[in-house]
Amino acid sequence: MITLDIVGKIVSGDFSGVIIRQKTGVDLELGELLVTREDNDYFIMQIYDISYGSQIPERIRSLAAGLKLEEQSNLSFIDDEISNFILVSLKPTLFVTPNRYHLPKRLPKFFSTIERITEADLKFLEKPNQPLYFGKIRSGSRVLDIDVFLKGDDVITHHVLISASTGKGKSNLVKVLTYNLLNESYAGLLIIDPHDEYYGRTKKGLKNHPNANNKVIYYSTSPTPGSNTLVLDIKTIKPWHLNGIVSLTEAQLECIYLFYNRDREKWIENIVLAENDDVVNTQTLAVLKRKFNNIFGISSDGNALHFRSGLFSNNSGITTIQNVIDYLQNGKTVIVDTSKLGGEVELLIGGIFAEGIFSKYKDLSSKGALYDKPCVSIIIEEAPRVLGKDVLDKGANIFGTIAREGRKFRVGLVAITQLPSLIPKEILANMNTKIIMGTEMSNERSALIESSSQDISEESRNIASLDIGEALLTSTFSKLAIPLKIPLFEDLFNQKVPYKEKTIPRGVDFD
Amino acid sequence: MADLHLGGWREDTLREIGIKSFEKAIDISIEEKVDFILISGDLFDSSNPTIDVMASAARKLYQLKEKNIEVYVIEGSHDFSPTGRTILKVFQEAGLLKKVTSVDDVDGKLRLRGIKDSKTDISIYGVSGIRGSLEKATYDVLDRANLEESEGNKIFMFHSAIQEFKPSSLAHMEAIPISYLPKGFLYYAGGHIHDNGEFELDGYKNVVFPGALFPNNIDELLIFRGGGFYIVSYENDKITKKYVSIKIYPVIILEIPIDGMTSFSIEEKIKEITLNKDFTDSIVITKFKGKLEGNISSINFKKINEYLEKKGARLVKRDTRELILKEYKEVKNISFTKEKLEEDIISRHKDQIAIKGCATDTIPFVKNFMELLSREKKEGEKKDDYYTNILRDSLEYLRKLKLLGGLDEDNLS
Repeated sequence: MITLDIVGKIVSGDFSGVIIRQKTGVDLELGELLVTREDNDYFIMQIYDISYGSQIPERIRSLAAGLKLEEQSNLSFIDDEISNFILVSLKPTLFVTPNRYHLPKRLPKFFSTIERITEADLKFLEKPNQPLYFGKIRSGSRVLDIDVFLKGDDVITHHVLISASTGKGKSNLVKVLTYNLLNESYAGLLIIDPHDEYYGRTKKGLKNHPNANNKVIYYSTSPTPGSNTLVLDIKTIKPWHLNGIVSLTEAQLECIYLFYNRDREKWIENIVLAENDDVVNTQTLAVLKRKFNNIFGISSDGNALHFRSGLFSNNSGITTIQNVIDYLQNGKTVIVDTSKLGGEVELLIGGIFAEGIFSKYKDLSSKGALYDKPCVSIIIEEAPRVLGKDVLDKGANIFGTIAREGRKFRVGLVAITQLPSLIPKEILANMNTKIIMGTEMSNERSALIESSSQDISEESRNIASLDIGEALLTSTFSKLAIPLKIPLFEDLFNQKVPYKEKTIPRGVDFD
Repeated sequence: MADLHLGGWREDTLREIGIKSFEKAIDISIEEKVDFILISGDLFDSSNPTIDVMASAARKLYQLKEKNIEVYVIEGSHDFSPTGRTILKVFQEAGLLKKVTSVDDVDGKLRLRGIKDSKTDISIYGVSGIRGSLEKATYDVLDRANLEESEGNKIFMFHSAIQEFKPSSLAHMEAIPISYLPKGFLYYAGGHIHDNGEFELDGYKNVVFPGALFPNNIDELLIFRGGGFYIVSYENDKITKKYVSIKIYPVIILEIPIDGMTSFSIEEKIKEITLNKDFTDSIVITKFKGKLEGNISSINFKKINEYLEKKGARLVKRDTRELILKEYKEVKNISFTKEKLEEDIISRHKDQIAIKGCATDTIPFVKNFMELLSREKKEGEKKDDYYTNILRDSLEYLRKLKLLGGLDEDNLS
């Protein structure tokens, strides 16, 4: 029986691609999801290519086109709609039975009719425990009212890569992901925010979530009232925090460790204050002083230390690292505004917090207490700055270590980048969930396709054509690559906010 | 000054030293001819101290009044009461001190009125501290802009730990961020942290915690041994701070290593290490360390105390926390946070009980159940309701975990 939903019929193909003839009057799009039914079962297939087909030899078609263009002829083909048509290439992505769903291991029946997918066809996608929300399923540019969740704990600890060209909606996606995570308690989030865009200092942001008071902690060098000043006491900085972030020679490293082993927490202070040292070359000391001046903004006039910026201090922020670690292991979302910091300092700060939580979780693991705490995710923008091949070749840094070992200790990365090809293949492969947004550059698409959890080798064109807010989700924890539409962050606020009881101010006297 | 905690110790001697410290601080202030005194919370250890403590405080405050030295105060987490019925209110009505925490509600924002000191023209504002950092709600709606824009020299008094300045030993303490306070004041007089410290951060100069005037517990006695306050002068646009240490009696810590010793040999050891020491008018803390052969009751603490008192000690207190008793296993990885300490204790003892059919792990179960049972009575909640609610919540929790199976629930209460 022919219904209005029928969009075509299978006419040829093989396992790498099923070709259908598109029904006249129907407009199918790249990336659209289609189904073909067999009794109670059905295949879900996705469009990866569209081409023309015709019964009429090409020379006749060219001649007819020429006559129409040059002679203003009214010539037309007999049964035009039958003779000329559109061929659509589909990739079978899932086979669904009433009891289960899995990757297809056979082809749908030849000449089967193909329909557009409906919400009912995707009802088997359930909301898991510890859900992580990604958006709604998209079929081409049509958005289906099916929310996409994966098990958040798994996804987070096995790292996430978010890739997109500029302006494709990365920030919106991260806001949506993190905003929805504020409803959950299974994960702590550390967001290194170089654009100060997630907290919502001047517009809506995570601070506007109904749970923000209890869950969102904001650190900034210029804090808003009620938020924390991003300040670190230099006594809490350890030499290994500089690993892979600050470029240091062997001699400089030796000097640093000499001071650290001798003076412990006063190592930075004593290097900066040292006039000369019996065992350290004066030139090495001078270079280190200059580097510390650049990184920590610290200098001396011989007797006293001077701090150029408020970021580092010698009498404030002694508990900052400890507090951030505590917040994260209590499932809070810590946003660190690094917008006013230089790139190297930003990574140093992010690295210090990342190292702190990673060490803490390694320690918990050795005590068998790892699963008493929520997992932790570290969101890092422009990830190749710390995970790029050239950076890692110069020496390991904490982000590289977490990318390789974090899963064992329930600490994951969310690496955001426009240039995934700069990240080594083994690290890309370790990122078990990828949210791929519009990416025009073919080498970047190749890097993503080659390292994806699903076979998306036919999706290259699709990825190139993704519009703002459209994405393709591939994950070890999903049986299929899911086309997504990410909702607009601002639209989340149209949802009804639960009534919040007004807190009574105390500690002051009303008449 | 701050954190005087008058009336705070159980022992008469220490309670009296607390009051003497206050008296001495006031005497020094009068001698130094201060213009006014700021007390940043916890003048008293409770909102309703004993008559003797109130009388001692009133006598000194009256002396200040006679000398025309104003006393500006805020309440602290100890002497605050949500009902407002505190001794500070009585003293304020009697003109012995002035609270600087009056506010007006202006379009949903709290506008502090402040008090302008008539001698110096300095305006003083403040927000009291409340247990559990509940004052945060007040800072959330505080009209900071109005405070920052108001003319003249200004002082802000607060009784809260500040996140950016709290010492590493108090890393887990509830604190407020400095950004809650208005910027650009001349001086920020802090309380609540019992250690003294001076801090500065962008927009906030002269943030000062004087610390306690006298230690408030044995740990503080061990660490600080005394207390103090600041005398601050402001001349030619320059602030000068002088910390004045207050020590009524010396605090002497007597470390007694007792590894492998018997009760008798401990007494001999004490005699040996105190042979040439002078304990006149001192507070002695005996700190026992090491593994004890035998039971703790085998140590004759009374005899040791008497011996030290004979050598002149005013008071002997003992610290046995580092004493390892034979009948207990050595505790590894000592935890310093309340939460972790609880977890460790539950974890060590959890195998002693079997919670049959309990769907959850022992640690979260015990912690949740303890939390239910330790809930404090809410403001306005009747005593009977409080008991009934605790019982109801506890039963509901046990029922949820299916731990009431086979029991007659109606008769449980």
